[in-house]
Amino acid sequence: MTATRLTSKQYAPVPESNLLTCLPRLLATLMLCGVVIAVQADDATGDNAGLRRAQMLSFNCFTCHGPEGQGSGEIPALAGRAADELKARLQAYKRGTKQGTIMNRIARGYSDAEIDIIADYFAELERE
Amino acid sequence: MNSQRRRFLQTLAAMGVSVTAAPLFADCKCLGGGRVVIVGGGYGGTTCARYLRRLNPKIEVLLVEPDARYTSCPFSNLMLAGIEPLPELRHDYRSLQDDHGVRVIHDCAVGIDTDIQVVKLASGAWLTYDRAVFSPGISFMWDSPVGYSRDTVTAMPHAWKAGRQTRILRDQLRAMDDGGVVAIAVPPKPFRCPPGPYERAGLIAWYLKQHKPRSKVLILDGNETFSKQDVFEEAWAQLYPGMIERVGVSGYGAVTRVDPATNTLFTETDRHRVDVANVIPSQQAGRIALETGLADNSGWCPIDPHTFESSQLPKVHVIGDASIAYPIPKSASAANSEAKLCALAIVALLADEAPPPASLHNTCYSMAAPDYGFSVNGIYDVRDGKINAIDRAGGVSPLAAPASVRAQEARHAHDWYASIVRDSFG
Ligand SMILES: Cc1cc2nc3c(=O)[nH]c(=O)nc-3n(C[C@H](O)[C@H](O)[C@H](O)COP(=O)(O)OP(=O)(O)OC[C@H]3O[C@@H](n4cnc5c(N)ncnc54)[C@H](O)[C@@H]3O)c2cc1C
Repeated sequence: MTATRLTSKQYAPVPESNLLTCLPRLLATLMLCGVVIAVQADDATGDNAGLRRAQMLSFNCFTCHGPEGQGSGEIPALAGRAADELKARLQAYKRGTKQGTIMNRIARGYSDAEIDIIADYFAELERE
Repeated sequence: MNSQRRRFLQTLAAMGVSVTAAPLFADCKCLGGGRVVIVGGGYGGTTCARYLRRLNPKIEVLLVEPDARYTSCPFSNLMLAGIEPLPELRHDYRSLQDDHGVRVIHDCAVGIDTDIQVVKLASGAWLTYDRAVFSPGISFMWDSPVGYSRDTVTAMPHAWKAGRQTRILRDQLRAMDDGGVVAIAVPPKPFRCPPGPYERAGLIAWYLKQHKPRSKVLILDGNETFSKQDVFEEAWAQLYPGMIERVGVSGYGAVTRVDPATNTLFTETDRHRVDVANVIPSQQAGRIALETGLADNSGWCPIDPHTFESSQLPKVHVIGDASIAYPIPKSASAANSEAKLCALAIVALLADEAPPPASLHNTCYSMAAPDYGFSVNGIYDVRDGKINAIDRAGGVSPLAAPASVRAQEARHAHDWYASIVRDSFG
């Protein structure tokens, strides 16, 4: 299927004057807010800040290691690997006890706490 | 009702737009959603669109991009040298639309009104937004060098936006006689892809060595030093001895004027009449960023590095080449990282929560031959409101590495490309 061209009608903004006519709907929506925020669409289960920090750090790995850490050619998959294994590898790169082409230069950029966050994040992702 | 809003309603009426209440629901933040309009479907814009939808499918994402197909600059130097076929560079927006629920609108943004939060399109349509993201890439400064304009890009291709320009330069290389001189004029920094001109020099030399071995590459450079310089120069000496000559700015290498009629490049002290002239002009943020006031006097867009929100316009973010993200270079890899940071920040802001602490990354692979690759990278955080390169991290591939390591990094470059294309275009 090719991208369909939208007409201006389909994405026309709603002017202020129409707020009045849809006030009842708006109120109903507002009442729902408390409930809806708690189940916000995300892989969040409550700790949004913690999850977002993990995503901020780990999404950068997707650029080379494939979206969702699924790997790309020779660049290995990270998703679903044991957290301890990933931590040990990243620490080995960081300390120079394991030599990579680029991973030493990357691992040195992260604190031990950040390495733990990244490893835990990938351990939770599913390998497809 | 203020006058601006009245005019807006009048315009809507003039456009024959019938207004219904239905979109109100879609726009309501209370559902944990909101509406984000993204301008520019390059590496920055597509990544941001995809990650916003991944993070919160309740966010409505509209991506405005004039072209039905994007042509990638990364890997276009391989295409010039005949190593990579053109179709490998082309990506469309179908997956973003069909698999990721991004509404792709093939149109051109022509303005923005931050009071009523609309992006205006060339077709006359207006798009409301809760947050807007601009990733329009670069535009060229015509007459820099003097004499270089829209009318001369066929005679002296820049090939610094990929597509037709890349083909023109490739055809000129193919048509050139053996023994010819190919000049690459490099503008002063900042420009997109700092190692790009030097990767190009090596890959053109690779092509010439096989097909026209008496030919030369002449780099006329508006800079004194360049990215990954030692590793590039080591590779050239090894692979193409005597074929690549570079004149830096202190040797008066900067091209100040061009004459397309005679294929001549002028520096302060010399004139070079060459066979193929690849002139890369000076650059600034994409035109829409200049016209909307997103750019400052430098021609680039200042941002708050925690969110990449514009310092000039509220609720408008600028990512990719157009933004001022120094010391991060202008690369697809950086645009991809900035786009993810921006998506995470927007998702938090739309939910009235604090954006997570910034972390950014850049990796740029370059090739000197199909089996000869190396990399430069950096990891960044934000300190005192400024982007900071973490100094114990990052750097360049080592000198004197064995051929097997160079070959491995060349393969990694291909794997990087396949990965980032999926990460951006879906
Ligand atoms: C020869 C070359 C080689 C390169 N190699 C690499 C590499 O190996 N690795 C790497 O990381 N980077 C590389 N780069 C750099 C990379 O191409 C850019 O940094 C990257 O494309 C920046 O992404 P962006 O989203 O900012 O801009 P772009 O990718 O240029 O996207 C901008 C988009 O915005 C659209 N647009 C512009 N104005 C409007 C408007 N008014 N309305 C709607 N849409 C609009 C354009 O059509 C375009 O699709 C290379 C660049 C060159 C020139």
